[in-house]
Amino acid sequence: MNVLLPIWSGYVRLTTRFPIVQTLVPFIPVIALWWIVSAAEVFPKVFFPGPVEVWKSFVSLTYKGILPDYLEDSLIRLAVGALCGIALGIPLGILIGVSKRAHTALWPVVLFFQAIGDIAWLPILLIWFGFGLTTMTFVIVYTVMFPVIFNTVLGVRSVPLDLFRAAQSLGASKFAILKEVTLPGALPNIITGLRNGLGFGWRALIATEIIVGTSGIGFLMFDARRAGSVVEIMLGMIILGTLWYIVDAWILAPIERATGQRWGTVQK
Amino acid sequence: MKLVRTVLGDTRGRVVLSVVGAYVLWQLWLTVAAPAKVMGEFPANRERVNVLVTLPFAPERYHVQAFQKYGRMAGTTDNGIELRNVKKTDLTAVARPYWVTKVEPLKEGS
Repeated sequence: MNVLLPIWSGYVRLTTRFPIVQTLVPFIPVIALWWIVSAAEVFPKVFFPGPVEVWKSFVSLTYKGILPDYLEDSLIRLAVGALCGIALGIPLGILIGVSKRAHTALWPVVLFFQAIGDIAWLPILLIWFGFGLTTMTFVIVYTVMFPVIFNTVLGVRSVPLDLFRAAQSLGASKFAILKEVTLPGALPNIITGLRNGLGFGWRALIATEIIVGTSGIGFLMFDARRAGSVVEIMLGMIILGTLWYIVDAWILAPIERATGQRWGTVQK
Repeated sequence: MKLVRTVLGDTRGRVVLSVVGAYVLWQLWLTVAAPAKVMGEFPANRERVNVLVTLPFAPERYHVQAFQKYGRMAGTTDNGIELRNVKKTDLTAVARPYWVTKVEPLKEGS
Protein backbone atom coordinates (compact mmCIF):
# COMPACT_ATOMS: atom_id res chain seq x y z
CA MET A 1 0.00 0.00 0.00
CA ASN A 2 2.81 2.39 0.98
CA VAL A 3 4.62 1.59 -2.27
CA LEU A 4 1.56 2.19 -4.42
CA LEU A 5 0.69 5.53 -2.85
CA PRO A 6 3.72 7.51 -4.15
CA ILE A 7 3.26 5.91 -7.60
CA TRP A 8 -0.38 6.95 -7.64
CA SER A 9 0.35 10.47 -6.42
CA GLY A 10 3.09 10.76 -9.05
CA TYR A 11 0.62 9.66 -11.71
CA VAL A 12 -1.98 12.18 -10.51
CA ARG A 13 0.63 14.98 -10.57
CA LEU A 14 1.74 13.93 -14.04
CA THR A 15 -1.78 13.82 -15.46
CA THR A 16 -2.59 17.17 -13.90
CA ARG A 17 0.40 18.70 -15.60
CA PHE A 18 0.07 16.75 -18.87
CA PRO A 19 -3.60 15.73 -19.39
CA ILE A 20 -2.59 13.86 -22.56
CA VAL A 21 -1.01 11.17 -20.35
CA GLN A 22 -4.47 10.39 -18.98
CA THR A 23 -5.69 9.88 -22.55
CA LEU A 24 -2.78 7.66 -23.56
CA VAL A 25 -2.56 5.42 -20.47
CA PRO A 26 -5.72 3.36 -21.20
CA PHE A 27 -4.21 2.42 -24.57
CA ILE A 28 -1.05 0.95 -23.04
CA PRO A 29 -2.64 -2.40 -22.04
CA VAL A 30 -4.45 -2.57 -25.41
CA ILE A 31 -1.21 -2.06 -27.35
CA ALA A 32 0.70 -4.40 -25.02
CA LEU A 33 -1.88 -7.16 -25.54
CA TRP A 34 -1.81 -6.57 -29.29
CA TRP A 35 1.99 -6.75 -29.24
CA ILE A 36 2.05 -9.95 -27.17
CA VAL A 37 -0.56 -11.74 -29.31
CA SER A 38 1.22 -10.66 -32.48
CA ALA A 39 4.70 -11.59 -31.20
CA ALA A 40 3.45 -14.98 -30.00
CA GLU A 41 2.16 -15.54 -33.54
CA VAL A 42 -1.14 -16.89 -32.29
CA PHE A 43 -2.30 -15.88 -35.75
CA PRO A 44 0.00 -15.74 -38.79
CA LYS A 45 1.82 -12.39 -39.03
CA VAL A 46 0.31 -11.71 -42.42
CA PHE A 47 -3.20 -11.79 -40.91
CA PHE A 48 -2.38 -10.17 -37.59
CA PRO A 49 0.61 -7.82 -37.82
CA GLY A 50 1.98 -6.15 -34.70
CA PRO A 51 2.31 -2.49 -33.76
CA VAL A 52 5.84 -2.31 -35.21
CA GLU A 53 4.69 -3.39 -38.67
CA VAL A 54 1.81 -0.92 -38.54
CA TRP A 55 4.19 1.86 -37.49
CA LYS A 56 6.55 0.98 -40.35
CA SER A 57 3.61 1.09 -42.76
CA PHE A 58 2.65 4.51 -41.37
CA VAL A 59 6.18 5.83 -41.93
CA SER A 60 6.41 4.32 -45.41
CA LEU A 61 3.01 5.61 -46.58
CA THR A 62 3.78 9.05 -45.19
CA TYR A 63 7.21 9.11 -46.84
CA LYS A 64 5.59 8.22 -50.16
CA GLY A 65 2.99 10.95 -49.76
CA ILE A 66 0.06 8.53 -49.96
CA LEU A 67 -1.22 8.79 -46.41
CA PRO A 68 -1.14 12.62 -46.06
CA ASP A 69 -2.88 13.02 -49.41
CA TYR A 70 -5.62 10.53 -48.61
CA LEU A 71 -6.07 12.01 -45.14
CA GLU A 72 -6.39 15.49 -46.62
CA ASP A 73 -8.96 14.24 -49.14
CA SER A 74 -11.05 12.63 -46.39
CA LEU A 75 -10.92 15.70 -44.17
CA ILE A 76 -11.81 18.09 -47.00
CA ARG A 77 -14.77 15.89 -48.00
CA LEU A 78 -15.97 15.79 -44.40
CA ALA A 79 -15.56 19.57 -44.00
CA VAL A 80 -17.40 20.41 -47.24
CA GLY A 81 -20.17 17.88 -46.56
CA ALA A 82 -20.53 18.93 -42.93
CA LEU A 83 -20.70 22.64 -43.78
CA CYS A 84 -23.42 22.02 -46.38
CA GLY A 85 -25.29 19.74 -43.97
CA ILE A 86 -25.12 22.34 -41.22
CA ALA A 87 -26.17 25.14 -43.59
CA LEU A 88 -29.26 23.15 -44.57
CA GLY A 89 -30.02 21.48 -41.24
CA ILE A 90 -30.02 24.46 -38.86
CA PRO A 91 -32.44 26.70 -40.82
CA LEU A 92 -34.72 23.75 -41.52
CA GLY A 93 -34.65 22.71 -37.86
CA ILE A 94 -35.44 26.25 -36.73
CA LEU A 95 -38.28 26.51 -39.25
CA ILE A 96 -39.80 23.22 -38.10
CA GLY A 97 -39.25 24.15 -34.47
CA VAL A 98 -40.84 27.60 -34.54
CA SER A 99 -43.65 27.10 -37.05
CA LYS A 100 -46.50 24.66 -36.48
CA ARG A 101 -47.42 24.81 -40.18
CA ALA A 102 -43.88 23.99 -41.22
CA HIS A 103 -43.85 21.17 -38.67
CA THR A 104 -47.08 19.73 -40.05
CA ALA A 105 -45.86 20.00 -43.62
CA LEU A 106 -42.26 18.93 -43.24
CA TRP A 107 -42.00 16.60 -40.27
CA PRO A 108 -43.41 13.48 -42.02
CA VAL A 109 -41.14 14.14 -45.01
CA VAL A 110 -38.10 14.55 -42.76
CA LEU A 111 -38.91 11.33 -40.91
CA PHE A 112 -39.43 9.52 -44.21
CA PHE A 113 -36.08 10.57 -45.62
CA GLN A 114 -34.30 10.00 -42.33
CA ALA A 115 -35.43 6.38 -42.48
CA ILE A 116 -33.67 5.93 -45.81
CA GLY A 117 -30.12 5.34 -44.69
CA ASP A 118 -27.31 7.30 -46.29
CA ILE A 119 -25.76 4.23 -47.86
CA ALA A 120 -29.13 3.29 -49.35
CA TRP A 121 -28.79 6.36 -51.57
CA LEU A 122 -25.57 5.14 -53.13
CA PRO A 123 -27.01 3.02 -55.96
CA ILE A 124 -29.08 5.88 -57.34
CA LEU A 125 -26.34 8.47 -56.65
CA LEU A 126 -23.86 6.39 -58.60
CA ILE A 127 -26.19 6.41 -61.58
CA TRP A 128 -26.83 10.14 -61.27
CA PHE A 129 -23.39 11.47 -60.39
CA GLY A 130 -20.98 8.58 -60.90
CA PHE A 131 -17.92 7.81 -58.78
CA GLY A 132 -16.95 11.24 -57.61
CA LEU A 133 -16.98 14.02 -55.08
CA THR A 134 -20.66 14.90 -55.69
CA THR A 135 -21.80 11.44 -54.62
CA MET A 136 -19.63 11.50 -51.51
CA THR A 137 -20.66 15.05 -50.59
CA PHE A 138 -24.33 14.17 -50.99
CA VAL A 139 -24.00 11.21 -48.63
CA ILE A 140 -22.16 13.25 -46.00
CA VAL A 141 -24.61 16.16 -46.25
CA TYR A 142 -27.48 13.71 -45.92
CA THR A 143 -25.93 12.04 -42.89
CA VAL A 144 -24.98 15.25 -41.08
CA MET A 145 -28.28 17.00 -41.78
CA PHE A 146 -30.72 14.82 -39.82
CA PRO A 147 -29.06 14.86 -36.39
CA VAL A 148 -28.67 18.63 -36.82
CA ILE A 149 -32.36 19.05 -37.76
CA PHE A 150 -33.64 16.88 -34.89
CA ASN A 151 -31.44 18.50 -32.27
CA THR A 152 -32.24 21.99 -33.53
CA VAL A 153 -35.97 21.26 -33.35
CA LEU A 154 -35.47 19.87 -29.85
CA GLY A 155 -33.45 22.94 -28.90
CA VAL A 156 -36.06 25.36 -30.21
CA ARG A 157 -38.85 23.47 -28.48
CA SER A 158 -37.00 23.34 -25.19
CA VAL A 159 -36.68 27.12 -24.85
CA PRO A 160 -39.10 28.03 -22.02
CA LEU A 161 -42.30 29.65 -23.25
CA ASP A 162 -41.95 32.36 -20.59
CA LEU A 163 -38.92 33.72 -22.41
CA PHE A 164 -40.89 34.17 -25.64
CA ARG A 165 -43.71 35.83 -23.73
CA ALA A 166 -41.28 38.11 -21.90
CA ALA A 167 -39.66 39.15 -25.19
CA GLN A 168 -43.07 39.72 -26.80
CA SER A 169 -44.27 41.80 -23.87
CA LEU A 170 -41.17 43.95 -24.26
CA GLY A 171 -42.18 44.60 -27.86
CA ALA A 172 -39.54 42.47 -29.56
CA SER A 173 -40.08 41.77 -33.26
CA LYS A 174 -40.23 38.20 -34.59
CA PHE A 175 -36.69 38.55 -35.90
CA ALA A 176 -35.46 39.91 -32.56
CA ILE A 177 -37.09 36.99 -30.74
CA LEU A 178 -35.42 34.56 -33.13
CA LYS A 179 -32.05 36.24 -32.69
CA GLU A 180 -32.16 36.95 -28.96
CA VAL A 181 -34.27 34.10 -27.56
CA THR A 182 -34.74 31.17 -29.94
CA LEU A 183 -31.21 30.81 -31.28
CA PRO A 184 -29.30 31.28 -28.01
CA GLY A 185 -31.76 28.96 -26.23
CA ALA A 186 -31.42 26.29 -28.88
CA LEU A 187 -27.67 26.63 -29.33
CA PRO A 188 -26.56 23.96 -26.81
CA ASN A 189 -28.78 21.42 -28.59
CA ILE A 190 -27.67 22.63 -32.01
CA ILE A 191 -24.04 22.09 -31.04
CA THR A 192 -24.87 18.62 -29.71
CA GLY A 193 -26.52 17.94 -33.07
CA LEU A 194 -23.40 19.12 -34.89
CA ARG A 195 -21.25 16.83 -32.79
CA ASN A 196 -23.49 13.83 -33.44
CA GLY A 197 -23.91 14.75 -37.10
CA LEU A 198 -20.17 15.02 -37.66
CA GLY A 199 -19.65 11.66 -35.95
CA PHE A 200 -22.19 10.02 -38.23
CA GLY A 201 -20.78 11.95 -41.20
CA TRP A 202 -17.27 10.67 -40.48
CA ARG A 203 -18.50 7.06 -40.52
CA ALA A 204 -20.58 7.64 -43.64
CA LEU A 205 -17.57 9.19 -45.35
CA ILE A 206 -15.43 6.14 -44.72
CA ALA A 207 -18.21 3.82 -45.89
CA THR A 208 -18.68 5.91 -49.03
CA GLU A 209 -14.97 6.02 -49.74
CA ILE A 210 -14.86 2.25 -49.43
CA ILE A 211 -17.63 1.88 -51.99
CA VAL A 212 -17.16 4.77 -54.43
CA GLY A 213 -13.86 6.41 -53.51
CA THR A 214 -10.72 6.75 -55.55
CA SER A 215 -8.82 8.26 -52.62
CA GLY A 216 -9.25 8.80 -48.88
CA ILE A 217 -8.70 6.70 -45.78
CA GLY A 218 -11.66 4.43 -46.55
CA PHE A 219 -10.28 3.84 -50.03
CA LEU A 220 -6.81 3.15 -48.59
CA MET A 221 -8.27 0.43 -46.38
CA PHE A 222 -10.37 -1.16 -49.07
CA ASP A 223 -7.57 -0.97 -51.61
CA ALA A 224 -5.30 -2.69 -49.09
CA ARG A 225 -7.86 -5.48 -48.85
CA ARG A 226 -7.39 -6.09 -52.58
CA ALA A 227 -3.66 -6.41 -52.04
CA GLY A 228 -4.20 -8.52 -48.92
CA SER A 229 -2.32 -5.97 -46.82
CA VAL A 230 -3.80 -6.32 -43.33
CA VAL A 231 -1.16 -3.94 -41.99
CA GLU A 232 -2.57 -1.04 -44.06
CA ILE A 233 -6.13 -1.90 -43.06
CA MET A 234 -5.11 -1.80 -39.40
CA LEU A 235 -3.29 1.48 -39.96
CA GLY A 236 -6.43 2.94 -41.54
CA MET A 237 -8.51 1.83 -38.56
CA ILE A 238 -6.08 3.35 -36.09
CA ILE A 239 -6.01 6.62 -38.02
CA LEU A 240 -9.81 6.75 -38.07
CA GLY A 241 -10.03 6.26 -34.32
CA THR A 242 -7.20 8.64 -33.49
CA LEU A 243 -8.40 11.39 -35.78
CA TRP A 244 -11.97 11.21 -34.59
CA TYR A 245 -10.82 11.21 -30.97
CA ILE A 246 -8.76 14.35 -31.59
CA VAL A 247 -11.56 16.12 -33.48
CA ASP A 248 -14.20 15.17 -30.93
CA ALA A 249 -12.28 15.54 -27.67
CA TRP A 250 -10.13 18.50 -28.66
CA ILE A 251 -12.46 20.55 -30.83
CA LEU A 252 -16.14 19.52 -30.71
CA ALA A 253 -16.49 18.65 -27.01
CA PRO A 254 -14.88 21.92 -25.79
CA ILE A 255 -17.12 23.90 -28.16
CA GLU A 256 -20.16 22.03 -26.85
CA ARG A 257 -19.05 22.63 -23.25
CA ALA A 258 -18.36 26.30 -23.87
CA THR A 259 -21.71 26.74 -25.60
CA GLY A 260 -23.52 25.04 -22.74
CA GLN A 261 -21.76 27.25 -20.21
CA ARG A 262 -22.42 30.43 -22.19
CA TRP A 263 -25.93 29.86 -23.53
CA GLY A 264 -27.29 27.02 -21.43
CA THR A 265 -27.94 29.53 -18.65
CA VAL A 266 -30.74 31.02 -20.74
CA GLN A 267 -33.02 28.33 -19.39
CA LYS A 268 -32.41 29.22 -15.76
CA MET B 1 -11.84 38.39 -29.24
CA LYS B 2 -13.07 36.43 -26.22
CA LEU B 3 -13.14 33.28 -28.32
CA VAL B 4 -9.54 33.85 -29.43
CA ARG B 5 -8.48 34.47 -25.82
CA THR B 6 -10.27 31.28 -24.72
CA VAL B 7 -8.61 29.19 -27.44
CA LEU B 8 -5.18 30.67 -26.75
CA GLY B 9 -5.61 30.16 -23.01
CA ASP B 10 -6.19 26.42 -23.41
CA THR B 11 -3.35 23.96 -24.04
CA ARG B 12 -5.41 21.91 -26.49
CA GLY B 13 -6.45 25.07 -28.29
CA ARG B 14 -2.79 26.10 -28.64
CA VAL B 15 -1.85 22.62 -29.90
CA VAL B 16 -4.67 22.64 -32.48
CA LEU B 17 -3.71 26.16 -33.62
CA SER B 18 -0.03 25.11 -33.82
CA VAL B 19 -0.93 22.12 -35.99
CA VAL B 20 -3.03 24.32 -38.28
CA GLY B 21 -0.20 26.88 -38.42
CA ALA B 22 2.40 24.18 -39.16
CA TYR B 23 0.19 22.82 -41.96
CA VAL B 24 -0.14 26.27 -43.54
CA LEU B 25 3.62 26.87 -43.28
CA TRP B 26 4.31 23.43 -44.78
CA GLN B 27 2.01 24.20 -47.72
CA LEU B 28 3.74 27.56 -48.19
CA TRP B 29 7.13 25.86 -48.13
CA LEU B 30 6.03 23.35 -50.78
CA THR B 31 4.88 26.21 -53.00
CA VAL B 32 8.11 28.13 -52.52
CA ALA B 33 10.37 25.08 -53.00
CA ALA B 34 8.62 23.73 -56.11
CA PRO B 35 10.25 25.97 -58.79
CA ALA B 36 13.74 24.92 -57.61
CA LYS B 37 12.87 21.28 -58.38
CA VAL B 38 12.21 22.06 -62.06
CA MET B 39 15.62 21.51 -63.64
CA GLY B 40 17.14 21.46 -67.11
CA GLU B 41 16.37 23.41 -70.26
CA PHE B 42 12.85 23.04 -71.59
CA PRO B 43 12.23 24.06 -75.23
CA ALA B 44 11.28 27.72 -75.24
CA ASN B 45 9.09 27.55 -78.34
CA ARG B 46 6.73 24.83 -77.08
CA GLU B 47 3.74 25.25 -74.86
CA ARG B 48 3.65 21.58 -73.87
CA VAL B 49 6.67 19.49 -72.98
CA ASN B 50 7.61 15.91 -72.07
CA VAL B 51 9.02 15.49 -68.57
CA LEU B 52 10.68 12.95 -66.36
CA VAL B 53 9.54 13.23 -62.74
CA THR B 54 12.06 11.72 -60.33
CA LEU B 55 11.01 10.39 -56.94
CA PRO B 56 13.18 9.11 -54.07
CA PHE B 57 11.53 5.67 -54.37
CA ALA B 58 9.95 3.44 -57.00
CA PRO B 59 6.63 4.94 -58.11
CA GLU B 60 3.42 3.17 -57.18
CA ARG B 61 -0.03 3.35 -58.69
CA TYR B 62 -0.93 6.33 -56.50
CA HIS B 63 1.97 8.39 -57.89
CA VAL B 64 1.17 7.47 -61.46
CA GLN B 65 -2.46 8.45 -60.98
CA ALA B 66 -1.51 11.69 -59.24
CA PHE B 67 0.22 12.96 -62.38
CA GLN B 68 -2.41 11.88 -64.86
CA LYS B 69 -4.21 15.20 -64.50
CA TYR B 70 -1.16 17.03 -65.82
CA GLY B 71 -0.27 14.91 -68.84
CA ARG B 72 -0.23 11.57 -70.58
CA MET B 73 1.57 8.79 -68.77
CA ALA B 74 4.29 7.32 -70.96
CA GLY B 75 5.79 4.87 -68.48
CA THR B 76 7.88 4.49 -65.38
CA THR B 77 11.58 3.94 -64.72
CA ASP B 78 13.26 2.75 -61.51
CA ASN B 79 12.54 5.96 -59.62
CA GLY B 80 10.90 8.04 -62.30
CA ILE B 81 7.63 8.71 -64.08
CA GLU B 82 7.60 9.75 -67.72
CA LEU B 83 4.91 12.25 -68.53
CA ARG B 84 4.10 13.60 -71.99
CA ASN B 85 2.22 16.67 -73.12
CA VAL B 86 2.55 18.61 -69.87
CA LYS B 87 1.76 22.33 -69.98
CA LYS B 88 4.84 24.35 -69.11
CA THR B 89 2.73 26.37 -66.70
CA ASP B 90 1.96 23.16 -64.79
CA LEU B 91 5.60 22.23 -64.18
CA THR B 92 5.73 23.79 -60.73
CA ALA B 93 2.48 22.04 -59.83
CA VAL B 94 4.05 18.73 -60.91
CA ALA B 95 7.09 19.51 -58.75
CA ARG B 96 5.05 20.63 -55.72
CA PRO B 97 4.55 17.34 -53.81
CA TYR B 98 7.28 16.77 -51.22
CA TRP B 99 7.94 13.32 -52.61
CA VAL B 100 9.05 14.74 -55.96
CA THR B 101 12.81 15.16 -56.15
CA LYS B 102 13.09 16.82 -59.54
CA VAL B 103 11.29 17.48 -62.79
CA GLU B 104 13.41 17.58 -65.94
CA PRO B 105 12.96 17.33 -69.71
CA LEU B 106 12.40 13.78 -70.90
CA LYS B 107 15.21 12.65 -73.16
CA GLU B 108 13.63 11.46 -76.39
CA GLY B 109 14.29 7.83 -77.15
CA SER B 110 14.83 7.06 -73.49
